[in-house]
Amino acid sequence: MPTMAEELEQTLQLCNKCGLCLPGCPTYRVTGIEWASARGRVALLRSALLDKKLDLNDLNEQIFNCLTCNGCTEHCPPGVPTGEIIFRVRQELLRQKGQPWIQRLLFQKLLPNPEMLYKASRLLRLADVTGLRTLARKTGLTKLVGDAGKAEAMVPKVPASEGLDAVKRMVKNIDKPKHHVAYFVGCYAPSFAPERAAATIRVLNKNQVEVAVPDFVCCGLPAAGYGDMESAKNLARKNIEIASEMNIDAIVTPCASCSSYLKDYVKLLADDPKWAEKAKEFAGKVKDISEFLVDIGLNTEMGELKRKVTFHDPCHLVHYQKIKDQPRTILKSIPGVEFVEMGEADMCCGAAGSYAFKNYDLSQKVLERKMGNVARTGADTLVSSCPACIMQLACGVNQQKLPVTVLEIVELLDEAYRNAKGND
Amino acid sequence: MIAPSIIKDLARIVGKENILADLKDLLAYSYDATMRQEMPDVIVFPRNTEHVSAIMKLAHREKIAVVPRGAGTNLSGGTIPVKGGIVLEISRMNRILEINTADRRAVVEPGVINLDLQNALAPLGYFYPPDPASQKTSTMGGNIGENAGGPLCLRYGVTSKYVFGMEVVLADGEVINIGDYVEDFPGYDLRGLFIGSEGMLGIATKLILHIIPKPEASRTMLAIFDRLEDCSQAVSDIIGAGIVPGAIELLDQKMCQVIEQSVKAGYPTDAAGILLIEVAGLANALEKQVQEISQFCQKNNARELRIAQTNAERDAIWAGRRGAFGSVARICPPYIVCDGTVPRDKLPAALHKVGEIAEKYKVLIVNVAHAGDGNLHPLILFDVNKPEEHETAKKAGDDILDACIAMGGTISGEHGIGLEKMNAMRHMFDPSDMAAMRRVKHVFDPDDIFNPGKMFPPEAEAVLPKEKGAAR
Repeated sequence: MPTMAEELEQTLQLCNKCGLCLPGCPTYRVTGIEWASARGRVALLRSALLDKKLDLNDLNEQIFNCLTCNGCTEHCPPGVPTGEIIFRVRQELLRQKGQPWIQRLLFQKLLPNPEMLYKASRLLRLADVTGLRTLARKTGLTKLVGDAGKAEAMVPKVPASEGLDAVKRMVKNIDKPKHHVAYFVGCYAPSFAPERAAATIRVLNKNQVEVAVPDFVCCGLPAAGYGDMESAKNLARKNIEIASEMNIDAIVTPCASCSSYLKDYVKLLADDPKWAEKAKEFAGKVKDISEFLVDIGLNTEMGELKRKVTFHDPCHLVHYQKIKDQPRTILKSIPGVEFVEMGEADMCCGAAGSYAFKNYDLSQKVLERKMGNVARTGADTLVSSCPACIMQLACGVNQQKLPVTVLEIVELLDEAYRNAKGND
Repeated sequence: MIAPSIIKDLARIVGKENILADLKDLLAYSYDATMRQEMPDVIVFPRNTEHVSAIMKLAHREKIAVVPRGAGTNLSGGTIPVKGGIVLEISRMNRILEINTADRRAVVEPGVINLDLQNALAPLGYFYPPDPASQKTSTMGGNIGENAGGPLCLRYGVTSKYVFGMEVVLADGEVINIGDYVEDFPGYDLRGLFIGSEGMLGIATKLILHIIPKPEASRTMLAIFDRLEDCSQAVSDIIGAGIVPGAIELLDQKMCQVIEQSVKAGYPTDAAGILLIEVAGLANALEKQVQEISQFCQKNNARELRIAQTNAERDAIWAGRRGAFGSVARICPPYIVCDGTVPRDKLPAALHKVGEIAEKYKVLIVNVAHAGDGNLHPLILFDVNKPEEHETAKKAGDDILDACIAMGGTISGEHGIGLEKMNAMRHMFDPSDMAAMRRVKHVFDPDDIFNPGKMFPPEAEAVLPKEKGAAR
C-alpha cells in the first residue's frame, strides 16, 4: 500500500504556485491569509508530506477550515483538485486519531437509518416545545460547547409533522406520466422542511413525471466530509441496491450536495469490483432537479410571480457538477420574474454542510460577504438549490435584516404553477 | 532571526490578530509564483497608513528587512524574503476609497485586486486599462510595484500612465505624497521612480488612478498565417499605417496545438502562427479599420481571416488566448515564462532565434507575444522532477534575453527583474547606468531595508540565493 504522501505526491506537484486560485477561495477572500487559500494549503501540505518540514497535526486549522467548495479548481490552470486533496488528508487524520463519538453516532448509526435520524430530530422538536432551547440559550449552556454553541441559532425549528413516511404519503398517481423517477429526498427535508418535499413532488407532477419515494438512506457526503469513507461506502451500496430494484428513468433530487455525491459513487466504489459497475449505472441516472427539468423540457404553463429574483449557486451544483445555466433558465422562464445576477454568485455562502457549526466565525465572514452581494442586487427573493445553503442564507438574511425571502428553486416553481390560470 | 520582542512590538502596532509568526505561517509566505523559497521571520497585515508608518519606524530603528507583498503572483521572485525579516502583507488594506467619473479618478488602497476595481468601474461605463494576466488575483499595489502591462497596453499604455498620485511610506516611516489628483506636477515628478520600483524604495498606501470610459464598440479578428514572418510583417504594416488596435496577440503553432488540447478555441493546429487583433472605439469608425486590417493581412498572405460577428464568437477567439498559460500548465505545471521585448520589426527574427535556442537546448518552447509591443513570452517547458532539465531551461531563458538585448530590445516587458533577471541587468546596463540607479536607492533607503537583494546584481560576482530545486 502506498502511503498518503506517495499517493498525493504527483497531485501536490501539479500546483505551479501561480496564485490564480486565490480569488476563487472564499476563506482567502475574507481573511487575506495565504494559508487560507488553495495555493497555501497545497504548499503547506507539500511542506508536511513531501519535505517533512512540518507535522501534519500542525495543519489542523488549514485542513479543516477549507470549505471544500472547489471554487479554487475552477480558477486553477493545471486544475489542482485541492478539495479532493483535503478530503484525502482528513481521511488520514481520522485513521490516525479515530472519530469523535458524536460523529461515529451520526455517520454510523443515524445516517444509515432514516427512522432513527427522524427520531433524533424529534428530540430537537421536544427541545423547542418544552422551551429547553430557550433555557439553554439563556443559561449560556450553548456557550459551553464552543463554536457549535454559537451556531445554535442556525439550527432550524422543527415542524410538528414530518418524516419520510409523511413524504411518501404526499405521492400521487398522475395521468399519462411521461417519466418515472425516484425522488431522493435527502436527510434535511423530511425532518425540517416537509413543505419543500411536497413542492418538489408537485413540481415534478406538473411536468408529467411520476414520482416514487423509496427508502433511500443518506447519500454519504457528511461522513466522507469528515473522512469516514467506510460509512460513506456502506451508505452508497445501500442506495444503489434500492435503486436497482426500481424501474425508473432517473433519480432526482433538489439537494445539490446529494446529487453531486450520488454522481460521485463512481469514484467512491471504483475499487470495489462487485459494485463498480452498479455504481456507474446508478450515477448515470442521477439528476439535479434543475438539470432534469431543463433536460425533459420544462412545462412553462405558469402564473405570474411579481418578484425580483437572484440566484446563489451552491458549490455542489456549480463547481462540482458544472450546472450553472439550468437554474437561471428556469428562473427566467417564470412569467413576471425579474432575474438579476449577483456579484460572486458562485462563491460559497459558508455553509458547506456542517462547516458552519465547526468554524462559526470564518463561516460568518464568508456569509457576510455573500449578504453584501445579495443586498446590492436589490432583489426581494433569494433562490438557491441546496438545503444547507438555504439554511445559511436564511440565517444571513435574518442577521442583516434584509427584506429578502429565501426560497428553494422548487418552491418558487411550485408557486408559479399554483398561480397558473385554471389552477385551483 | 529577529528577536521575539520585535514581534511583540509589531503586535502592539497592528494587534495580534494581524500578525503571523508560526512555522506554518512563515512557510506560507516563503514563496511566490516562481520556484524560489526563502523564509521570512514574521508576517504583518497593516490596516492603514499609520500602521505601515509605525512598522517602518520600527524596522528602520532595528535595521530589519521589509518585503512588501500583495497576492504573491509575481514571476520574478520579487516577493521572496531573501534576507528574512518582515513580510508586509497589504491584502487587508483593500478598500476602494473613491470613484469619480467626472474627474476620471479612482482612489484605492494598495490591496485592492485589479479585477475588483474593474468590477466596480464596469457598471459606470469605465475601466482601468492595465490588464495583466494575473488581474483576477493581483493587487493594485503589486501592479504598481511591477509596472504591470497586459494585452490592452498596446493601445492604452502600461501602469505608469495611469497612476496620478501616491501616498508612500518611506524606509524611515515618513509618509509622503507624490504626484497629485489633478494633472499638473510642479517639481520633480517622483512617480517614475516609485512605479516599477519593485518594493525597493517605499510602500504605497494610497493610489490615485486614472480611469477612462469604455470604448463604445469593439471588433475582434483572427488571422491565420503559414509563415511567422508574414504574421509579424502584418503587425508592422498595421501599426505603421497609423492604426492603433486595442490589442494584437501572436500565438505560434506549438502554442495553438497546446491550447487546442484543452480549450478548443477553434485555432488551427497546422498554421505557423495566428494573430488576434481587436480594435475598439466609436462604432462607425470601426468598419473602416477592420477593412484596412483585413487588407494588410491579405497582402501578407494570411490564408484565412475570421471576423467575430457576435459576442459569443468574440469570446471564443479570446478564450484560447486567455487559456494559453493554463493550457501549458495542464501538460506541464512548472514552466518558465520569459519576458523580453524587441523592436516590433525584429519580432520575426526574435521568434526565429527562440526556435534556434529551443533546438540547441532540446527543450520545448511555445510562444505567445503581445506582438503590437514586440513583447515576447516564450514559455519553456521542463520536467519538475529532473533538476538538470530546469537548469537547461533556465540557460535557454537567459539566451533568449541576451538575444533580445542583441536586437536592441530589453529584458523585461512587464514582469520585473526581482531575482530572476538580476544577472541579465549586467547585459542591459553599463556600470555607470547601474550606479545611478543604486544612488537613487541609497537616497530613499540608505540602510537597504526595503526588499533587499533584488534587482541589482551584487557588485562582486553574483551569487544568487540558493534555489530549492523541485520544492516548488
